[in-house]
Amino acid sequence: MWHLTWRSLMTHKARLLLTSVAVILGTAFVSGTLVFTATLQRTFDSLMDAGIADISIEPNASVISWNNGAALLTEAQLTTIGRTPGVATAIGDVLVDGVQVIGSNGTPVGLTQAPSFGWAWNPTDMSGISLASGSAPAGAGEVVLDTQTASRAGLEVGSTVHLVTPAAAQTATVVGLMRYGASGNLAGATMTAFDPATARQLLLQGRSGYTSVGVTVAEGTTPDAARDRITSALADPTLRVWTRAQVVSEAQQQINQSLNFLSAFLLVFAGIALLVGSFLVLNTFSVLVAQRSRDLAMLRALGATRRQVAYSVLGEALIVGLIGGTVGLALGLLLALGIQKGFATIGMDMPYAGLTISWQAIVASYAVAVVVTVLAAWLPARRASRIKPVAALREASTAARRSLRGRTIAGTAVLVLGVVALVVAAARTPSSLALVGVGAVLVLAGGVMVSPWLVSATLAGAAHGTRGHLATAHLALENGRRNPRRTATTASALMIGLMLVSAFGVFGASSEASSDAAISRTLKADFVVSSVNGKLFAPDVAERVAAAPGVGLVSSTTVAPVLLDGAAQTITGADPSTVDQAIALEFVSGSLADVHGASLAVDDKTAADQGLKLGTTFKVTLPGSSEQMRIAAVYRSDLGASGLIGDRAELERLGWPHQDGTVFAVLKPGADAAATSSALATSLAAYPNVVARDATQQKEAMRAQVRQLLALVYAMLALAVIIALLGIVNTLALSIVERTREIGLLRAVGATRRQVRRMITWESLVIALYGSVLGATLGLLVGQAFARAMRDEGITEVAVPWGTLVVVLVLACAMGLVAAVLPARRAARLDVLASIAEA
Amino acid sequence: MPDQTTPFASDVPAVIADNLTMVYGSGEARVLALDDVSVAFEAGLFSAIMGPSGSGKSTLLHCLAGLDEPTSGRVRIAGVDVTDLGDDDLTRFRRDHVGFVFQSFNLLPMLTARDNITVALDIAGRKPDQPWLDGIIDALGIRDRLEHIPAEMSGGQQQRVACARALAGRPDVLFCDEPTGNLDSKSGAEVLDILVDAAHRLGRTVVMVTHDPSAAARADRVVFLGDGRLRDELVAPTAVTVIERMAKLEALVP
Repeated sequence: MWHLTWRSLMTHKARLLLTSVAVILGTAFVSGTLVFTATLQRTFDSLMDAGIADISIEPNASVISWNNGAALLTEAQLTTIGRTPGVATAIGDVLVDGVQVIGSNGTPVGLTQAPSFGWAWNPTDMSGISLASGSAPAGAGEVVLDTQTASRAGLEVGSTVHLVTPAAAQTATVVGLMRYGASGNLAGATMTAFDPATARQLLLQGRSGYTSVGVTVAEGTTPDAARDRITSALADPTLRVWTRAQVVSEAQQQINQSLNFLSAFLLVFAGIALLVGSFLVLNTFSVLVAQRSRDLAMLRALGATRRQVAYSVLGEALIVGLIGGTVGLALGLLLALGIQKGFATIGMDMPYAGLTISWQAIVASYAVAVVVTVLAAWLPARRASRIKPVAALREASTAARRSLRGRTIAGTAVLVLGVVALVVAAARTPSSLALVGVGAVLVLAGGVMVSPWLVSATLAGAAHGTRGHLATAHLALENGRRNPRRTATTASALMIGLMLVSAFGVFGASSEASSDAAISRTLKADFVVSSVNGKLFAPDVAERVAAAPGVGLVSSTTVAPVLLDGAAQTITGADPSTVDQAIALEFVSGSLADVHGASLAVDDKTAADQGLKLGTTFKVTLPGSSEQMRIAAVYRSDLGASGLIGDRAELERLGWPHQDGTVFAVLKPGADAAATSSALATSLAAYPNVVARDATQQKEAMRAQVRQLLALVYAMLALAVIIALLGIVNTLALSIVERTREIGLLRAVGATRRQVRRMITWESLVIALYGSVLGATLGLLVGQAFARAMRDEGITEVAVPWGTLVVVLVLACAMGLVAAVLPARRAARLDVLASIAEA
Repeated sequence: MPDQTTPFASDVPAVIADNLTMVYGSGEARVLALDDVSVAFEAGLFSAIMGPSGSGKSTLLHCLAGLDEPTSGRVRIAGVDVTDLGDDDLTRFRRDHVGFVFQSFNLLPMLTARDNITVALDIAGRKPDQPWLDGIIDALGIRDRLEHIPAEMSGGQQQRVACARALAGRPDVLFCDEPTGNLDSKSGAEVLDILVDAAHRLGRTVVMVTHDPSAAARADRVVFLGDGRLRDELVAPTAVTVIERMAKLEALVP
């Protein structure tokens, strides 16, 4: 029987190739994702090859995700550690995130999300850093850069470099280059070293102390024993004393978490591509079984059991799956290599040339390819096994038209249920995203089920309309509805893709509109100065803003990560006397006047989520200190204003550095906005890490963020849409093989090649249009429900991106035309006599 | 006929049909394809079933061969009641005891003649009996076509390959559905020679549906069907007697 399966496969090479392509693309997505994230993981793991002491002591790092030097270890503590029995050496380090190196092109070097370290020069075996060339920094104007940063910034020993430090923007001379570990890899981070005195000045606002202490354990002492001794010697619960093993495992856990999120995100889209691909597989095998029903019946007559016939079809699917898995895996590796190269160009070099190919990635690729193909071929295989042997003896293969009624009724029920779920999910308070998900799946399933009937009905209407004047279109429509299941399956693949595109489109447009509205509602200041990388910046920025001509009032805020009764939170530190002129806050209870000292304001939504009320008190822990604080005011939550707001003076009193997250500026009465804007740009030229925007620009910046995310989603969905279009090519090609005689007949009775070509093109267009309109419509429903259900998250407006939708529909149809090119040419080239003669 | 010796003929019928009725459709579209047909075919004989179009002869053949299930009635082949068997048992029974020759050859297009001949054995997982197979291949004169695929063979050659396939598993009964219907007269005569030979020399029971009187004349016995009922029967037919009986039958049918 395997022999037969193989021979049959070889006879239909071309059509199975197309089927394989669908499986290959989906599998490549899966294997590419797995291999790439594994490679990324190895890159991060290599960071831990060097520079970790046997034991490291830091101010409780779980409080601050930002290593900004707010809390320090004192000289006395260093001495205590050094004297602890079992400690060979103890070295204090100053390492702070926040020294940006500005490249020769004027933009900050390094990945936006990666840290930019400033370091007090102190090369030891423990730090893992060695001088690669030049000399150590000595004096205020000298720095040493890491080799990767220098080469990316186009700097060498002797160059002048622009820096933005937590203190101010300044220039310095590069006197040397240093290398981290063996490879120099910092995974997109940058590192700048100063001499210790300068570092204290720039990084610690002149305070003395260390951001961390590294310990080398004496011989004969275990790290765990030394750690316990150090912990009891220091007797300070705000300090974190960890062995190397703890540091590594904590870091790896964090890396794994973010990498898992990344791979889950990518795998969702791989799953969508595979789902779409499975429709293609289903269709191909359905058609193959239909075309071979006579052969299969003959095999049954000759003694093949039902099971053997089913297995012969599944066997073909298995082979397609194996081919798909193999080629998909290879393509996935290429893909991962491509992404790796892409990452290198944006500043994140991977230290190892090779990819990390785990056995899991290989097994997953094959499993996904085989399971998807075999599952999709299941229905056709079952159908094949039900062919009666007597069908071999009957003249015409009378594949009885199975009724669509049951399917349509069930599908309508599912569709209605889905719509109800969406409506309820959107209307309910509190809204339920899970219910939106259920509704989306039901609507999709219902759409797929109702589709054959809808195809029949729609195309019948259209066919009626074209009868008599658009001959080729009329024929195409009749062909499309001849086998509504097949047409519907083909269109379903496209429907899924378009449904997602339009749902995300609605959500994106709603997010943009909501963000616009929120900015209009809440932003009272004329200019917003914010960091381009989400980090705090030097107070010098606010001073320069205030000094710019045309600027009246300036109000700046900072953001402090804290522990609120032990749970991680952030507090926005504002100046209560001016913040209400920058941002509109609508107080529900209390007022801004109540926010001072240890009294905080909170928005009503956060309050509800976290069970906070007016008067609630809690312990707020900042790096190095803690204090009882209480809720003194509640304001209405808005996309533009939410969370805990406190008095920044109080935060600074507790040790939080005087650095800003956002600076708001209000125009002087009568000042010219445009002139002020350009004045701001000029005075902030030394700080490429911040940007000043007016309300319109701020809206545009927020929109751009949404659009960037949306573009990423669309790019991911493009693959699914492409696979769906391959499905159209496949279906058309298969149906032309089936209809060879008919097409020959059309040609014999006078249809020109051109007309045949046009007929096939019409068919393609009809399928593409039907699938995309249906998909876009369902997507509109799901997207609106989703957006409405997100109103508690600040999505206050629901908008439909009609322009985008029209563009997408036009694109889908254009691609439908492209899909028709090859099949149409093939149909037009059929030899008239040979086609008719073919039995 | 002097050449029609019947050394294997026995009084025990190989195929017995009792009260076969076959109804298609319902209501106004109801068609009575077989109406209480009882007939038996003796082992080792070559029998033909004749009748005008729509007389139910193909339906009868399908039921006799266990390919189609009658609405009521029973069919026994080599003593086994095939109407009692479930699909898998029936399939296995067919595989071991029954061979088919179809009007349109029905060879698998992607297989060579050799693979087509052994396909049923392959499906059953049986090893071919090589001397028996060689004997058939030589008797049918297709040894030089074995490596060709169907598209490279004439109709006569294809039907001879189909006959070889039917005989390869040493079936008890060979069912033929208009085996000469798609062939020219010379090729048709050759195929009929093979069928006669299969009954008389190899001892198979052969049951053939045909509408060609000269083909029917090669059989040992002809049964005539009209309107789904058994109408007539002829032993040791000639083309002339067959035509006479057919004419009579068609005159009877309103």
